[in-house]
Amino acid sequence: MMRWIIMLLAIALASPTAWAEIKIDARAVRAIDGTTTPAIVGGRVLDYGTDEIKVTPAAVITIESPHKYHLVRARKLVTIAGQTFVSGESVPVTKLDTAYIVAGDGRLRITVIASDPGLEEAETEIVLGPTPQPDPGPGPGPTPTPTPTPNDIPNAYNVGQLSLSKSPPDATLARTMAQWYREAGMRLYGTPTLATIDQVLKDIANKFAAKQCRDQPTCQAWAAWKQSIDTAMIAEQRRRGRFSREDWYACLIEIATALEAVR
Amino acid sequence: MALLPQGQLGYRIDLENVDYLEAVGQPSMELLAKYRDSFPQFNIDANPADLVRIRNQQSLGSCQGHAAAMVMSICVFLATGRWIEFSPAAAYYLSQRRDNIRGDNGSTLSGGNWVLTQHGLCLESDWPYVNRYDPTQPPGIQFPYKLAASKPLRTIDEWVAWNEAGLPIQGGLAWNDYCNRELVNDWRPGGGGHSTTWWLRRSNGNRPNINSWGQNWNRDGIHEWTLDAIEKALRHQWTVFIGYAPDNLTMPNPEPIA
Repeated sequence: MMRWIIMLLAIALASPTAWAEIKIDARAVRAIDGTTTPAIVGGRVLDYGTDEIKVTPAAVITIESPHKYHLVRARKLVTIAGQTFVSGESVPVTKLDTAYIVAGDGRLRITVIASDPGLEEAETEIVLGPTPQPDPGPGPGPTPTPTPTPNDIPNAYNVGQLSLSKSPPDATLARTMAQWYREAGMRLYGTPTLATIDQVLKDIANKFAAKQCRDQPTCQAWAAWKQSIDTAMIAEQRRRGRFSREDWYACLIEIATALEAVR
Repeated sequence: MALLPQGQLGYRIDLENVDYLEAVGQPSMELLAKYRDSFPQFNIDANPADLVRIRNQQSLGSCQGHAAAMVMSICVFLATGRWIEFSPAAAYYLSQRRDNIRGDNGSTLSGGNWVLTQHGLCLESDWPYVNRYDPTQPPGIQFPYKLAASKPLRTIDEWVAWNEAGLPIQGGLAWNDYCNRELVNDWRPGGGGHSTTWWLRRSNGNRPNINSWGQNWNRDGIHEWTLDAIEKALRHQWTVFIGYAPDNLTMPNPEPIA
């Protein structure tokens, strides 16, 4: 029994993307959930059922491709500390005869992986739900770069604010070290190559030991910083029981974000 | 192209209990829906050889035990970021106990499934693998590591969906010279049964197959299959593929590191 009627009445965005031979068409629609025996009469949807009906944002995805197999994934995009990441929240994708339905709201990244022959991947983004308010744009004059305060630094793992507060005023080395921590996080996810958390922490320790400081007091201050951060990471693992791979990534990024704020 | 050398096999196709696998496994698409997309996106084109520690079953018919232990290591890495060596000896001998097989006569995927999801597995250090048939369980060891498993993957779409999610697949199929190649682009039945682990994807669309014949087999212990070859094997009545996931992973908390 149909529980979904896809209404192609309000098309908010259509954003086809072509990578090589894959073409993705993503159109925002409103889905009516809960109907049992719907009918469209005179521009109105009539339902003879008694279940509660909800109107929810959704997208219809159609694909043009010469490949035999397709996998469609949809993930929410979130912004943390000014950077956009793919969220860990899975967005359901339902396959229809010739299209896919994605139910969700917010900013979504749609990925199509197609194979046979060969392998291709294509992506597009779509925003579902309430239309975001347009950016009013910059005011007159140059926009000053905001200086992050300790409260702006993520601190879910109790290392972010500590990283910022304990670091010596050495922005150059702080930025270099931030890069180590970011790259370490990505390697847990295979970019550019796979590594375990043990391996990436050891890499960071080796790079830290080999770093060049501008003077001895700064070197000592950085040594104290590393000691504090390592102690805090261990304490947080004990507090949580254990870190998942996602926890490790988020913790490493928290440290990197704090280091990038060092002035 | 020269054939690769064939090592020991050990997958008991003839004793496989597919009904058990169907009964205890979860529908693959439901399990995938529960499994969270990685944050950030997992690069499934990464080379598994950069991470996995290839083992060598040597002269024992313990391929299924080795594949099961590899699956557990991969799932624990996906869940925790750590690589832990699990006991292929425990996986093999406990599977045999479940299969009621005596002597070095192989084991089944259903036996391995029971070990990985019900009984639990232990570390390599608790029950070391030696190249001598000895099913005696060391005293006093714990088996706290357990996973979730899918029902047998029946279609290539299911197989691809599981693989593309970055999750490992344990396979059991008839192994012959069609399989002893750097690139397996065709498959025919015949030969003995062998169990291996599929994980990740090559950038050319082929799928890496992690074997248990040592690090020198095909240079790094891993070879590739085309999807067509996998699909041919999948359609055969004696082929079984099971997807494993770190859903509801049970394990003791490891020592913190920094």
